Amino acid sequence: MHRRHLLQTFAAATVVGGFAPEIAQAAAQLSRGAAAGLDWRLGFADLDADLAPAPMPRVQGRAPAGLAGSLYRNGPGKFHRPGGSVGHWFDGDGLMRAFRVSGGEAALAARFIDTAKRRTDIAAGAVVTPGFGTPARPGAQVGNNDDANAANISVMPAGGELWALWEAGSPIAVDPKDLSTKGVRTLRPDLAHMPFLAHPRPEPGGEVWNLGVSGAKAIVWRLAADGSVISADLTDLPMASYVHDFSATARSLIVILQPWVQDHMSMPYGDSFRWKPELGVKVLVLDKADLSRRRIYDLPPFFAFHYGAGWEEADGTIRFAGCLAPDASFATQNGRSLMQGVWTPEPSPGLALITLPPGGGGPARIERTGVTAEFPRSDARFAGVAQRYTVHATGGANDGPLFHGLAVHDWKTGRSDSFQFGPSHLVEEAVFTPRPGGAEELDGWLLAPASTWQPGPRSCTCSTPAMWPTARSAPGAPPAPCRSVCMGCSWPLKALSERPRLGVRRQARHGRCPRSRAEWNRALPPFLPMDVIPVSPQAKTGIHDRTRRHGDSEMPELEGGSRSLAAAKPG
Amino acid sequence: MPALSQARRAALAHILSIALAGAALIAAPDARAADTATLNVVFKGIRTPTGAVMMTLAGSEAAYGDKAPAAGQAVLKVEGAEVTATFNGLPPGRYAVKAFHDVNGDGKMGQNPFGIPTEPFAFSNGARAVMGPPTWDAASFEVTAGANTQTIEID
Repeated sequence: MHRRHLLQTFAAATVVGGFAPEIAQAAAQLSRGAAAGLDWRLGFADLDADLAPAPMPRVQGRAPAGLAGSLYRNGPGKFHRPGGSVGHWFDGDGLMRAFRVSGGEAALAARFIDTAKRRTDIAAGAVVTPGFGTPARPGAQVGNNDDANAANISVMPAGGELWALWEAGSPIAVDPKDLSTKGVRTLRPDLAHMPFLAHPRPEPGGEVWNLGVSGAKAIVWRLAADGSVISADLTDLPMASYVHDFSATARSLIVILQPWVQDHMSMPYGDSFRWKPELGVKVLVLDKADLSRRRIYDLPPFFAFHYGAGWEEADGTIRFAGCLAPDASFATQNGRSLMQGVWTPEPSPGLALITLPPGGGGPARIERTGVTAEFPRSDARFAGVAQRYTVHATGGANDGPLFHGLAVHDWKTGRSDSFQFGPSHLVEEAVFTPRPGGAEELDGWLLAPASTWQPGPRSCTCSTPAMWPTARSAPGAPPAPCRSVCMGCSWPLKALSERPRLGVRRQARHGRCPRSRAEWNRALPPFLPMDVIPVSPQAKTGIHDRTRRHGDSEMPELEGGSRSLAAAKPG
Repeated sequence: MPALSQARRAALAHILSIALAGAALIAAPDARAADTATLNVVFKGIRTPTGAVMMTLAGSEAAYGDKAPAAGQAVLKVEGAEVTATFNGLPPGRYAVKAFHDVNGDGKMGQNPFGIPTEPFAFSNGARAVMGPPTWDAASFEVTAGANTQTIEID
């Protein structure tokens, strides 16, 4: 299918993937006093039913020429049931959303993944199926991993299907057209119910590498673009760590073993792990061509859910980005308590570059940027080779678990160009999709749904002109214009520079969004719909030179950029 | 996130694959007294008509946990959607069935490399696995003098 008609973006929406636009419930949960800053609890409201496809009124701006296709986003969308609810954010039912853009118009549809877990829980009238932070309750039926598969972390394309991914079971296939569930995909009969992480590493040529982890063992999946298994091999890990993501270069797989280590097995599964900082972090590098060829590095302790794509230089030096936290407290505490509406402030993860010297070349090292960051993404066309930019969510603060901004980090200069939507917005992970015909790194658009809510008598289109209303406030849907959750904030990247950026930051300091369309227009250039952010050099953003350097494995400029990171400290 | 503990996985696999390979239909002695029972165990819902259903009939909690001899065992060749095992001359009492469908006919219960069963299995009384086999209390059922039928959905 032509790129113009299908943006094969796929979103790893692990943590911010679950904005369920259940407006009425959300509004009921929210305090009117949250007007200046969107109550983060909105991001965890239940969606009780699928959303039929509905047009998203274009409030302002225009779709850029060449952008057409669907942005698929999967994440937990249903958490509470009368007889008992999830004990952790990560245990909500997988909800697949499709934002479809064509001819300058857009539509939104959302459908829950029809998992065995969801069927069991619905029948029980309670969340009875155990999970990451949820115990097994009477009525649970778990004969294998896929009986507990929530299919709620991310989505990848495979052989004309969407695969909704969990991390401890099989992919579950979804029809990309109507989002109906097609069933569990057993990749090979003898490998039924094996774990398959939610953050596979596709290569530019279409092959996909992934891991599945159980204790101190992993299965290394290598799939063709159609989802068929090329190889699946077992390997030992140096520690029985919790592994949610990994990195890869063109030649190597990089498995980061953090000191949140499984020392027994119990349910909820998260209770099986202990934080043992004295173990430090071990980084296992596996040669893709021969998994028996491996080397292990030591690093000081940290915890991370997500890593960026890696690359390898001519001398064998490996670099990759990660979003590092001091410990596993989000997984063990806040991820649970926020289901009860309680958030204990903790530092946001920070963007860092990890460097692994070639064998015998010295110790591994971490260079921390000082930029708050989660969901690192990059231009997938350059996966495995030297990349200059990392895109990530930012603006997480002590006020809640979610993010308020996006940023592009330049590893060459150490500069971070961030755009803060302000506390009135909960911003999801951004994904990059290339501009047709564009070849430079990040020549294309970022797409990132976001949620906001503007209380008061104004309609959504008046109070939040930058937003596309959700289907609920779309024509034919129950009217909810005054307490609307609007998804699809749109900012052109040029808002990241010069006047617009300053304007928005000023608004953030004031703790409010513009009150009128005119005010928005004064602050910003015309919007593009649905977070369609042009990041093309041709967009004349004025941010900086985006000269791409890739294709060979050397990136001497990065050396300087890396060194300058310590001084950059955007904070 | 493995959903089953290694210990429980091992226990489940062990229980379900116990000494059934090659076993022939083994029935208790014919009924000789009026107070004995006949039990028909019907397996329904078979999706793949190959291989065999291998089952164990436990007459006690100890037998259910493989700590005592089973009351009966059977290998039921699968050629359709349903197979039935008949046990005659059983003493009335509580029994439980555990079974798996050896779809590929290799005589053992398939497991993936991490020990998770890959072939269908089932228990009597509608009991379902929850991170391991169901308890004796959940899986056992009463067998009374005369004819009894226990129907199990296995696939």
